[in-house]
Amino acid sequence: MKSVTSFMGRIITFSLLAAIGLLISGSQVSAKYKEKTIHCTAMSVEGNWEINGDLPREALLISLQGLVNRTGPRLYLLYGSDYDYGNVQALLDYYHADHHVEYTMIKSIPDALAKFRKYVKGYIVYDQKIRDSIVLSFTAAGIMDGVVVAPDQVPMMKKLGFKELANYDGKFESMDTTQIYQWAYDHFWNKCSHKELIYMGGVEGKYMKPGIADLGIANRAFFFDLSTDPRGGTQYKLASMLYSKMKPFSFIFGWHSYMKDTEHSSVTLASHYALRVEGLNTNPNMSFHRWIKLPPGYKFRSHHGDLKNLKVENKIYVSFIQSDGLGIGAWLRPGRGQIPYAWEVNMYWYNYAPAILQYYYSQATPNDEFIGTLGGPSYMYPKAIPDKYRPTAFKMAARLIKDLDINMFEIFDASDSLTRDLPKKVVDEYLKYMPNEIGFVNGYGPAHTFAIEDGRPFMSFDYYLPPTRTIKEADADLEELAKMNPKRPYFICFHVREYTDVKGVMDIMKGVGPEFKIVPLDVFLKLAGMAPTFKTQYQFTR
Amino acid sequence: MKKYVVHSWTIAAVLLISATLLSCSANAQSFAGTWKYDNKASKNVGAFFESGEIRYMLKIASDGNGKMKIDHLTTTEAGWKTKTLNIDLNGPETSSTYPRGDFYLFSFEAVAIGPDQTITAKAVQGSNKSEFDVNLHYTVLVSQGTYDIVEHDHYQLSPDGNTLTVTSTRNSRVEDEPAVYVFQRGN
Repeated sequence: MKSVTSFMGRIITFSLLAAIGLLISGSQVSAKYKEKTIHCTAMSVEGNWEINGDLPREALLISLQGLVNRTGPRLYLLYGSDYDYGNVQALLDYYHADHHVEYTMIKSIPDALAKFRKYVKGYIVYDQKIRDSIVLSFTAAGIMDGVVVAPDQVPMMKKLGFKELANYDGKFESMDTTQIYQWAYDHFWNKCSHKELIYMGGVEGKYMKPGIADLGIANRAFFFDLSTDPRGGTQYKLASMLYSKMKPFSFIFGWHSYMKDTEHSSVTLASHYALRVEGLNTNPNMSFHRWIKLPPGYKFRSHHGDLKNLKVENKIYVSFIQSDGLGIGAWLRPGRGQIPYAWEVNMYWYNYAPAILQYYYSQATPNDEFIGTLGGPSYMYPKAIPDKYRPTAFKMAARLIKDLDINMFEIFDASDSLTRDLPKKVVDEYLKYMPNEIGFVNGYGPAHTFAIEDGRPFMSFDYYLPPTRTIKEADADLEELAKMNPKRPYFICFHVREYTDVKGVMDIMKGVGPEFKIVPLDVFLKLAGMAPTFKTQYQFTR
Repeated sequence: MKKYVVHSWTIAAVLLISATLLSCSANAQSFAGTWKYDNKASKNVGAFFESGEIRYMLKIASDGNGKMKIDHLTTTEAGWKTKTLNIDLNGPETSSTYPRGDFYLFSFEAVAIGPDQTITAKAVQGSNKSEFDVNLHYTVLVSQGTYDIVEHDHYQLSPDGNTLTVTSTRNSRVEDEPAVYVFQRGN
């Protein structure tokens, strides 16, 4: 008996000691984390983004940022309040408050180059008359560890004591776009990392907005600006060749060119090679964000609606999803938190820049839900992904969505210009390979793919709110949908573009009748699963 | 008896005015031609037109005896897509087949059912030859199944024949202003 008591006593003592040890260990980890202050520099790149205007200054700083952030978070660029991404200053403030990021401001390029001289081996001169030479110089910058400069900036660089690594001024005058990138491929491809490609498209003409270039330079990626339109001739062929050289599920950062192809052709081609598209070309500071780590033991926890004891009413249920809401959207604009609202999540941030997600998760109100996007682990068109890669794509998405504590997923496929609908085979694969999701939403503009399996609905948007729609028109649209879909309950999944804020949506909903009821997206999907008044339908076959 | 003197410049002016009036009159009755969509002048139109995400154009051909072919051209990723509506002014009901695709007239992009969509149309023109009316019947796909649409379009030419206004209403739309599509004559 004594020995038993003694044994029990030893177990209790050991357990107590272990618990104390764990507590001390935990507090040490926490203390260690708190002690890790990040000292960095912030600079403004605010300007007009004109190739013959402010771009030389902006491109130089972004290339410098890529070099100095290659091995740590040292330079953060501020893009101004009018920039496409409205969260740049807010993220820095958040890092300062919650991630022990301390920063000092530098104003001049010479000061910045002097401070970060050891990361810069020299400079690469691009030809201001040839846009493609600027794009190509970003590739060269990553490989040669140089900053990119316009010819007018050469005297400054010489005065500061930097050497010229390459000079492309006038070099490509006799070449067309395809020839320039073929030249780049021949000279740089084998020296690039191949972890990602950078499509430096977006606005063109006299403008360029290379916000994502820092990431590509830091990772020694290959940059291009080639048409992905199948009618694009040699450009399309070269783009296809580049894509074919990438391992499946590699990334294409940046964005398509607004002057030479379309989002849909770009994502279709990428999906054909099972590549992950992550926009935009304007996406700033990614070389910095990736170094900001989550606190030890941090788990993403998102808000979920109360899915217990749900009762279906004879209502018109409406649920909102805002596309691109977290980066270029309305997260920081009026109304957020006042009505249930779902925000598309860029899931790749989980691995690439988790602290950005932490920022949004920490700010989310109980009315802010998250939905995983878009089609796969990144922006991918499932119909264009080869059959053999589709299950992997869906499983990758399922893993990310689980890690992010999300249980809803969104798809948009524009690989077929005539329809946004999906065939049964693809719908079945989503339901099979993403088993933890309570529901799926398909489309952009409205689509007509609807299915259900074990109470898990696969639905499409019934309504799309474009940026120009007036409240009166939108109200009439909703009333018309209600008339055309007479059964109750009726479920309207409502797509809001990034241009409209939550307050604008609330104003629209004030104008519809009492039959309409706004519900959180997960509640919406659950109710639709309980009372599926939609008709099961898939993409029509040709 | 008073002698009227008619100067040559007066004759020329009368001839010129007559020619202009005749020309305007001819133009006023001529719906045929290419019509470019004027987004600024239009109102209450389909959302994709309104936002400029879809470009729109009409091409109208007439046989001169009331039969008309109205091509609705909209942009897609693959380029321009055409839906042809056949009408016969004051003639029997006509039937047209639209290829599979979306009806952008609807703000919410309702699509007609099936790979081919049958549109029936009855067109009526009164004594005013610068206008006519068309009643269309077709079925659209909605999330709960299908819905039978009755659409009424009023085509109106401006006095100078260079602006075409199509005012559209449909049975599904509740207490709303009609959609007004304005087109300018193009080449």
